[in-house]
Amino acid sequence: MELNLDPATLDVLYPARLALDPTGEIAHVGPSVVRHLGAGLSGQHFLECFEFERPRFTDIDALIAGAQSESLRSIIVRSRAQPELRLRGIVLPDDGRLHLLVGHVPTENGRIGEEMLSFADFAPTDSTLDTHMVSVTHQQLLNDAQRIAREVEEKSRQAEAANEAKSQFLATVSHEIRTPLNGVLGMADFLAGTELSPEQNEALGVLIDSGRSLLTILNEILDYSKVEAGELELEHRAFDLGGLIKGTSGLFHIKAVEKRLYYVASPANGWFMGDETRLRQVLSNLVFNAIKFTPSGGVELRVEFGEAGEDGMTPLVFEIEDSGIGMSEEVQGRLFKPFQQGEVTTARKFGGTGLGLAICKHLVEKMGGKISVRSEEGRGSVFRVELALEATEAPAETGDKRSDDGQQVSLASLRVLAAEDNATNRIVLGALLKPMGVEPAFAENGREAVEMFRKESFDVILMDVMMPEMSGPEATQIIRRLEKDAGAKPVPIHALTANLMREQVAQYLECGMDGALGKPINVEELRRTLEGVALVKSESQDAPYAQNSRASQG
Amino acid sequence: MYGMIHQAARQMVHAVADEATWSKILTTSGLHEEHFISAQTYDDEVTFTLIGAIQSVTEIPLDELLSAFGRYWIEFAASTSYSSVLEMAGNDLETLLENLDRMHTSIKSTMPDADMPSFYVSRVEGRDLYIEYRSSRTGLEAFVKGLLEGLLDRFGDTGEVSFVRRADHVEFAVRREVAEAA
Repeated sequence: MELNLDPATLDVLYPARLALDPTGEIAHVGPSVVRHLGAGLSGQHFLECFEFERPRFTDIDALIAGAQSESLRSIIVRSRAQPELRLRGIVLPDDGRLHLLVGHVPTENGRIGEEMLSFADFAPTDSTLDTHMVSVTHQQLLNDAQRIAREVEEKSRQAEAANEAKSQFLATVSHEIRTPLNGVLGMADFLAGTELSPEQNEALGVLIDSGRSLLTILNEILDYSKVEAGELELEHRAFDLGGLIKGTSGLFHIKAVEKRLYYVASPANGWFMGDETRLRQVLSNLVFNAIKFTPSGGVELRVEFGEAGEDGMTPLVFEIEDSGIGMSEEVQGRLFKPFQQGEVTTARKFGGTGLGLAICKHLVEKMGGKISVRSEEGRGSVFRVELALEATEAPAETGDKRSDDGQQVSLASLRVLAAEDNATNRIVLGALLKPMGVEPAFAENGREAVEMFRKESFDVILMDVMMPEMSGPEATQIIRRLEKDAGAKPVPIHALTANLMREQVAQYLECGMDGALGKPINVEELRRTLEGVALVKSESQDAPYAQNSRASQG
Repeated sequence: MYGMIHQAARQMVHAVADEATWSKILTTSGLHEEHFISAQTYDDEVTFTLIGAIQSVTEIPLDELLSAFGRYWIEFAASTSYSSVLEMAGNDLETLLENLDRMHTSIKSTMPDADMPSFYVSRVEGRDLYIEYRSSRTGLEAFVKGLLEGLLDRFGDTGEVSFVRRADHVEFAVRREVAEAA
């Protein structure tokens, strides 16, 4: 089949075509090239106006002579006058003439619009426009994706900031409430040690119970804030599991008996490495919950041990079973999520923050274990905690000089300096120390404590951490420096603070403190600490050589 | 219609009203971020719901709103990645209108689901142009009128656009004023 196309039709099909005569002069210029380079190209030699970009070393004479047939397809030429104008197509020899059937090519950066090219510059069969449209759409979609990513990031940042602000607010409010509550509970403890009528005793019991419930709620909120902020750290110390179970049984038993329930705990023995306080928190939470939701019958705590694995870890299973109201599968599904309680009515009837089980789950998982529940409505529940703990030997007796060795220690002679900026806390501390026969000297901030230390001699310093003018740790550092300069024996300094996270305590010790006591003040803990100080004091008085030798080193 | 139309509507509202107005429009229409992907084709129902919500919240008469949207569309398209395509389509109204179908065909190569209208310049009388507009959609004449007015603005022309509904198409007349000699 032969197809003859007249020049006008060829110009429509190839608006950028060029025709060369046998000498290489330009004989015809397509309308699109005329529009861009002008009609003056006609009569000029092709190589004066254009250069071959591909194949780079094309011999135009050989091309005209038909001796370079492999170059006939896919040539690219570039205008010398307007280098951004590139044409791509094929070469067709015909009776000594050379036809370049070419079209416009996007620039190296893929653009064609900026070079003043219009739709008319492209052959109808040329897909360059479609390709360009794909490129433009691709760019537009990328713009969309970037915009959406920015918006999502911004929204997520705002949500995180709002959540953080909320958690921080909760933590701050809880902390602010806890300080006066410490005062209330401390004074209530003090009153409990005085002579009261049966009615007053009963009222005080309610006061103490309510205060402790409130404290539990506040502690849960604070704990959960720490969980959310990723600040909750676990201890890794040897602890006596038997002691833990035995130690908690008394309180669990009392709570159960108050509701006419039974409480039994299977005996457990052995020392393990882990966080005793947090494990006690988990078990207490589960047992108290069980008691709370059990109207009759009772609660049982079972502890089962597995065989130690090759990694030295002993599997431990704690099961807390109750004969209580139980719960549906749907409730079980959301039980360990924060701010969730069994039913809407649960919060009204039983109270609580709905955070306890979420905290338990977090703690257990942080210990590398898991927590689960199986239950049936009306037929009780079984909470199961599975852990793997490293068994360890009971620590050797270190000759702990505690008063419960049978040795009666008098605290009355102790000179105690208490640095505490909060007036209520000072009154509480004073009231708690009074029955022990201790009358502390008070400083209202770290600076005052240092001044008093310079002027007087003390056997022990109880140091609040956060104080105006000078913090407890700063005051401690100064006191240690003064002692060092004077070659004096370091006075025991114990932090008195609500902030007892592991890294916080480590910071107190780093500053030169000897230990830390929690707030609200636990009377027994305070007494044991002071008894320890009193014992060491009496021993060093019995052994003057030690003192002399230390003094001689200074 | 494709998401760029929705993007243009959003930008137009933002250009003349506050964020609260746009939020109200979004709530009224029930549209979300997923409805604003430029190259995504959406059911016409979604687009008409959005236009209806803008109309209901702003209380602008529908024809007036569509006409303003048509004018804004030209301005919007010129501000996107498609500006180069618009430039290539022509430097004067007649050339651009003659290239519109080809441009739409190219767009269909990347968005095969897009249902594009057709524009055909049937007569040129002096500076007046007569255009046959065909579309599978009805009721968008005011939008096309605004679009042609937007193109007049783009090329620095002034004039009037009117339309007459014919049996199988709508005929638009663009009567351009003669530019005053400088």
